[in-house]
Amino acid sequence: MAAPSVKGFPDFQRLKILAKDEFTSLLDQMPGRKDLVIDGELMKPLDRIASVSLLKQRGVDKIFKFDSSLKSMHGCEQRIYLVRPRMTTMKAIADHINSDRNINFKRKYSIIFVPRKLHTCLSVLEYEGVMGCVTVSEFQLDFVPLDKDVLSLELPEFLKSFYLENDQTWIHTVAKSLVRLQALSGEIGHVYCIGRGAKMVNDLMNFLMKRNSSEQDFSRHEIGSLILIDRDVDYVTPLCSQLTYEGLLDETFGIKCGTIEFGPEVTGKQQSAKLLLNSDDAIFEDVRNRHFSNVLGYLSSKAKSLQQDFDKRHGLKSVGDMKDFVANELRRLKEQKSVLANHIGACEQILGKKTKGGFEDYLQTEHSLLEGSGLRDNVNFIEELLFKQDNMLKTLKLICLLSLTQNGISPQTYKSLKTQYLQSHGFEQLVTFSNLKSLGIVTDQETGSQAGTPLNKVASGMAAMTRRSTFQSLCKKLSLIPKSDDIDLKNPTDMSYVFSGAYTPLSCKLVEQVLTRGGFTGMEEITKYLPGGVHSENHVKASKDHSTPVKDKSGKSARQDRPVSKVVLVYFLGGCTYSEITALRFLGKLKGYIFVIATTAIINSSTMLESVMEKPPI
Amino acid sequence: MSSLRRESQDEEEYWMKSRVNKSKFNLFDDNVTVENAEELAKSKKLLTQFEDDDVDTVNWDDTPVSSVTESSAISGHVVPPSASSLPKSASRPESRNVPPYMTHSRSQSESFGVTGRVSFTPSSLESVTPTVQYSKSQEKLHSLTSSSSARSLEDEIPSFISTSSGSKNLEEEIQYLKRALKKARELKFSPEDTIRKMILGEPYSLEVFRSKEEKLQLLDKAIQVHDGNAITAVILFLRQTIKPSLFNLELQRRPVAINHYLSYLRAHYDFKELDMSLNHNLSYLKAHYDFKELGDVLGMLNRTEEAAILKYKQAISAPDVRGKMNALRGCLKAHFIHEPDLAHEANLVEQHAALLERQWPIEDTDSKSEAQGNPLFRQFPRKVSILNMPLITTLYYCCFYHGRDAENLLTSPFAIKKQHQLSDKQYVWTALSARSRLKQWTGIEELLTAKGWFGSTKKVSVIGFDKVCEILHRTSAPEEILSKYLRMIDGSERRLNIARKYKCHEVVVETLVYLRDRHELQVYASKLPPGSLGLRNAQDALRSSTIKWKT
Repeated sequence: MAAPSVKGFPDFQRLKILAKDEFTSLLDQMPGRKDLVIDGELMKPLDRIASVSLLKQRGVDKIFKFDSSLKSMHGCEQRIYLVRPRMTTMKAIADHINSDRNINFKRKYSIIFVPRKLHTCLSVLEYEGVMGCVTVSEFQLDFVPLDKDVLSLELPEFLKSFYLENDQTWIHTVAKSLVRLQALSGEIGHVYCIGRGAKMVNDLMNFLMKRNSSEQDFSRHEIGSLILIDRDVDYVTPLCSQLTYEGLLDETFGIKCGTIEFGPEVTGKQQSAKLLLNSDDAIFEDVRNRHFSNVLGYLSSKAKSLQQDFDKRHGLKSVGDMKDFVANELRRLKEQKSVLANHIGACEQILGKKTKGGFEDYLQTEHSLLEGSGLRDNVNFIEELLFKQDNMLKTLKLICLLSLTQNGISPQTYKSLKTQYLQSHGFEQLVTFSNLKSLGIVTDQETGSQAGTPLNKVASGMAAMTRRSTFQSLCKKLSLIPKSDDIDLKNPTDMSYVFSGAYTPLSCKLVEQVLTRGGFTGMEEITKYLPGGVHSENHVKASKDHSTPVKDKSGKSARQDRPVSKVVLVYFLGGCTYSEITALRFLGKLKGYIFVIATTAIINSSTMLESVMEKPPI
Repeated sequence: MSSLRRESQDEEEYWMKSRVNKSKFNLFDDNVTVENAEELAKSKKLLTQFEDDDVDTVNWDDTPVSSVTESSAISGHVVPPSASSLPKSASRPESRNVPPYMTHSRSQSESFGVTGRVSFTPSSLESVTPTVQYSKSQEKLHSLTSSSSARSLEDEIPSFISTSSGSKNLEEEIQYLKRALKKARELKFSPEDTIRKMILGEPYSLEVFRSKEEKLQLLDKAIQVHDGNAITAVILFLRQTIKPSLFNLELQRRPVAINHYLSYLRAHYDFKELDMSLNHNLSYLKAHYDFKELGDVLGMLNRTEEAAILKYKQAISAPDVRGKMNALRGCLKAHFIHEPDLAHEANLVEQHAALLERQWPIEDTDSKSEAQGNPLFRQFPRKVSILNMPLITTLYYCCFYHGRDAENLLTSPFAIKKQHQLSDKQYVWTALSARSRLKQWTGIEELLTAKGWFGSTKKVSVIGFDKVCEILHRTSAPEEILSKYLRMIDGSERRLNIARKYKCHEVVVETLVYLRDRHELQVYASKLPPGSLGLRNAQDALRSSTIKWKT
């Protein structure tokens, strides 16, 4: 298990360097001493791009976290706001400026929008009468490379904005990120779109890119194909309990922009530890993709071998050896030891939490929901969680899964579960249920046929005839539920290992199908169940004389067998989970693809639901 | 900005060339000028939008000279805005990029084609009679007297140069004009171009579009390329410039546009909310206006559920409980009760209001009672106020502090059950937890006792005795109580498992004896701590000769 070869992965450090340069030049546009006010959600992404020392070097005096509740702010006579384009943010900035004006404090203001300025934001500045005294610019930070194979826009609000409010503002950002990426890596020859947003991104991307297709040699481009996939095609996968190490770390502690913070309960020390989780950490790289049952054993054997390396120091013969050991080995060993201690501590925490909260029963219910069996028992289990006022997110996840796997919940059960949920967790959750209904995640079978899920819309008629839900049909057609129980979690042979062999993530299975078939041909039986439809484009042509991109309706794509076509960019609109990333990494190893995963944000069941939930009062 | 820069490059280029040409002798000057004059005549037609009556007077004869004056006349008309806008744009380069309503950016882009002219006019002087041209250039510069004297010195110099090079200049000028014309034509603001500019983040202007058809073309183009920012910008432009009835009609024909408008109104509402919370009363009215608009649009679209939920959301955002109660009642009446599709939601909102109406007096009384030192609250201090807590939490609270209150009181758990139509399971589960926490064992017995036929009683549990035990275990009930209810679990295997789980040794031993499983009993006994009751029972059983063990 040596360090995996980075060969084949496009080098995304370039993106970081570009972003850094862009940001530096933006800072330089306001020469001299200045304060920097950063939107809270941009802190971590910026951390990945620029260091504090760089900021200081560029004249940044103080760094503040943007707080919209402040009516005014102190600081030096120049100030830069680095913010997401939001009307409320603009209002708060305008208030800051106006309060300075009221006391006749002269200050220069600059607003840097990340990643772009919006008309509505500028109107607010105009409306508040501060347009004349701010300079406005854009910092087109789109992809933050989290790892050698993961790019994230760090834009979790995409989900709510696009799927709940049907707002297409962020489509531009996604398309732009692809345009900029292709400026570096070369145009991507094959594009496959699964879903409504995916198609929009592709359209806008084509609009923004001037394709001079005739003269291109696609074999020299770094990425062969692009698969865009909408989250609303598969809401089931992110709602399943994650069981891989990285997924569990995210669900238990929350991984933010590729970093994790372990509290004292993990580190065993007074202070907490911040860790960068990526492939540079050899120990983490070895365990991140494993099923959890297979992690602790590995870590303890690693600890033993580390101890042996330490013990070598007793066997050192000469002073020279000793010197050599201290100079080279000791530091490495010590670092490894502390990293290992943190991972073992984290495992213990995860284990503790999972054994205490009746996780076994929960998981069993989840799996039988996926299978579509034991409906009555599952509903009883959910009701019991409600009597107990057990964690509201956990309960809601099961309700969501119940609805998604059954094409909505039967009217009576729906009413009863909704009422009990509201009684147990506050009537305010009425708003949550309304949102989930609009999203098509929790629906009533009665209304489902009218306004219900996107899945339902496609196949309501069919489902009524076959008495099988859309999800179940997809499960059967794509064999998402493995028949045999004996999946070897240690040496997996199937992507379903990420969910203990109970379920193969639908999104990843679709990616696999598209790649093996080289398009959507022959998948009609499957694609008819997918909301938003599918679309594919092929820009690689055998002959050079066509200048318009040929739409690959027939699926007869000129498949290249050069190595580049094995590099596949999978772009999740609306976020993806670590389990999906892991499943794709596994698929890559199995089939010889090199997957690069791009996403609007990395999500898990909790962050996904929380983004559309009504906050409880207080 | 980039186009501005390009422009100045053009200008420079022009100057560079013209300087070089000055030294050259041009043989074909006549020829060239005639051709170009025709060109210019053509271009004039295209430039009609920039011209006015002046042009006719300029066009009085066919000489190339006159065509030059014509061109300078054109410039003379267009330059003033550019001359005034140019220094402005130079002084504030960034802000130029961004105005939301690009009224002046239009004039800027118009002037792109001609900005260079301001500087080249002096060089064209030699081809015209100095006096005529002079007044033209003065017109241009808006400085009749002062500049004339200042300029005259400079202008002396080019006038010495031969006319032929002046014709060459003319050719350059014509080339330049062509370029300018091409740009002007590009600037004939097509909806497509404007949308493209918006998407690329370049300056644009919507105000050049006056006809409804063009505006709608803009909107449709924005929708077609899926850029939300452009869609919203065009919608807001439409809202500003056409009457509401038309606006609504066109919006309703475009679902994508509706969604963006709603999304804007929601965000705008948040923004107003923030404004309101910061400035309290001033913008209150306006906020309500926008909110009303959001509701109206939803109503117009027959999205009654969304509209109702929106009003509900607004009602629950009231900061104080009394205000919230009133708002909920009002919202219920106005938006839920009369909608047959929202019957279930109406019931839930009704429950929400009723819950607050119950919590309010309870909190009032209990906080006073606590302050007065009521022993109950001293023994079990209230952690938080009961206000705004969920219904089940309120039920638990009432079971805990007011378990024995009569049904006609607000605090009565049974009254809560009745009013909110809680199921027996919900009720028993919560009441059991509270009583177990209070260690009211007789209370639990009452809860689980049902009157049978002929006055006899029997133990029943709607939630199953396994769950009863789970609750008892969770609330750390003593072993004897737990054992008592463990024994009521049906099915010896199940009982055994649950008893093992809660480490209720007595019951485990009993059950193993009942199952006549000697082997298991031996194994189990070996793990029991010495001297415990369970071990003694196990040993007794193992010694006993009356039990027929399974073989």
